[in-house]
Amino acid sequence: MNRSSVEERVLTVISSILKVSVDSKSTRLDIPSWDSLKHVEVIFAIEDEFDIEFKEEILFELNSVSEIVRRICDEQ
Amino acid sequence: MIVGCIKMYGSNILSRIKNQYKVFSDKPSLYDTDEKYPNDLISSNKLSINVWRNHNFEVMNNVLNSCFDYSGFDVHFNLSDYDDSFSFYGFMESSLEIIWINSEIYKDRKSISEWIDWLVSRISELRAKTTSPIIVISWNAWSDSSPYHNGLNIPGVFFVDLNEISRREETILLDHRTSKFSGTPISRKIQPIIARYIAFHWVLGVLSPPIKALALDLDNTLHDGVLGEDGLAGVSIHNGFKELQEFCLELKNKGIFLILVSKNDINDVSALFNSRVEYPLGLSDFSVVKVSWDGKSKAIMEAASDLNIAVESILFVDDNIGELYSVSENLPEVKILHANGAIETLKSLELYPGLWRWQKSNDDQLRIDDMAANKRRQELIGNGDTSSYLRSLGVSITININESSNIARLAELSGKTNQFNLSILRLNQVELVGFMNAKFSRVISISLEDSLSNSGTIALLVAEKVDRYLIVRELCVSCRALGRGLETDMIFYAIKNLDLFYSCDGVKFIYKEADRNSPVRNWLSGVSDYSEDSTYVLSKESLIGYSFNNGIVFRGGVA
Repeated sequence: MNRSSVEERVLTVISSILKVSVDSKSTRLDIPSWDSLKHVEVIFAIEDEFDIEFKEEILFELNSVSEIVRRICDEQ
Repeated sequence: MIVGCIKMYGSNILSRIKNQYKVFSDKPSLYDTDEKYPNDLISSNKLSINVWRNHNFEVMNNVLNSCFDYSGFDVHFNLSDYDDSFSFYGFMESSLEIIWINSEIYKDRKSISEWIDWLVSRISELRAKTTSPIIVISWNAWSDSSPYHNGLNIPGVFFVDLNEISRREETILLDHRTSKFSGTPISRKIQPIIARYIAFHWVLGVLSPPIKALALDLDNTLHDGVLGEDGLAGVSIHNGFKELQEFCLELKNKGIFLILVSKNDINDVSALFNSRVEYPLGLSDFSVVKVSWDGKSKAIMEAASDLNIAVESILFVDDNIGELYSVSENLPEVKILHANGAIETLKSLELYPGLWRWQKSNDDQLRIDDMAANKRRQELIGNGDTSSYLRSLGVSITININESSNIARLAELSGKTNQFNLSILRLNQVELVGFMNAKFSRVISISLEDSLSNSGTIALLVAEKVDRYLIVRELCVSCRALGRGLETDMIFYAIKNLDLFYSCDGVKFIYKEADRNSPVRNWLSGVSDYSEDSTYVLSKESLIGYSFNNGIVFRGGVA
């Protein structure tokens, strides 16, 4: 799967959970509704979507769309 | 199919069915991405629940909200801060208390027995603040072979061991990879499952009125096929229908009435149940059989009347959306469930709010036999005199005073009785224990038995001596004991056997009018000497002079 395809699916998952539009440059700092509780939902939904499990030590680093996409590409 | 029916049946019934599919789905979603369907239930009950916690509870919010919304409850959770000491700081009164406690935190510093002692002390601290029910949800972090609450029996406190849920659901309980991140060691796979249990079983098992009867369609609901079209040999209980019937039988044995509501020929249906020995359900397992070509609303209303229960305590299950629509239009109080395949229907019934209860008492099992015996009693009454009739039945009434071992049944009577309920106090276990322990009050349980059936504990009376009167605070007689003309004898006998009664000038019954408790008012009007507003007064002389029916054998008494 190429990066743009991954990014598209990540954006779909995140926007459906946060109920706001997000783009490839969005970060948790930019979006008020991306709070800690929603962040848990986002990460777990991403894991479900891509059938992956992020390593424990990077769970706290997935704070932007670009970082999430990068880590998914690394996993594959 | 659902979408195609929208125009025909309107959106309400379809919203309810879509919500049904969502909340009972094989894989409930933790995430708030699903379409929201409006809840068309006629009323929404507001509940406030305190959650005392030391790990994340709100990860389950979406599932909890969906489940409560489907059940017609608007629930607000008051979440405490994370507090390992469970100090209950900032306590405010609520309908229910939940202690959501991660036991792993204490594992390195306490043995299991030390932790249990500490937990009991915290429960006692909370109990001192409230009489509301308390649900403790945790797990044995020391060993998963036995529940942490083994041997604990505290009135009004309900324990859940999540290890048991994990085993039953074959889903891992803990996931330490995500615990720091999500704020709870509970695995996300089991979180939505636990959320559903919290809503449908554990919370609504305490706070919602119970379902008393299942009204079941036959074709494509209890078996695969249509009897009138496929014939006796053409219908089967493959594909999960056998398990579904077995579950219905289990419900019957727990005291839930089964009603057969089918548009068929009664001769065909009789022949079916007589010939298909592999069917777990027999026709005699149904307390009421309504097989005709009449509307199902009429059948359900008649069944409710036969069973002496309210239509809102009935859950109607049918595979035909048109029938569900028709019943919900004519009887909006009736709860409905779409039978969308045996396996799905079974799963929905296993979770359905109001069908699962915390306590399973012997009285539940007695209920079905007792109602069947009532029919025979009515036939026996005939034209003979009442004493001979009662003697022929061998009626015996037993009273027990402050019977703490029966507290669950007594709380159930207070919570469930609608028709013969004096003041609708809905006393819970803790409040009843309070009356038992007070110097000038008594809690009386009344049991009934005859040669046809053992009815078990059928009445509750709570009385308190105030000045020169015995005040009856609560009086509940189960509907299955009504209609035998025994109310006056059992209640007067109970009062006459109270030590407190003899230092009083009389008895006052404090009546509070509610939607359906006119039977108790009618009874009071007939037996009391006079009434003032809603207080009915009976003098000591009247009660002492009462002639008890000599066809009844009385047992027990004297506090």
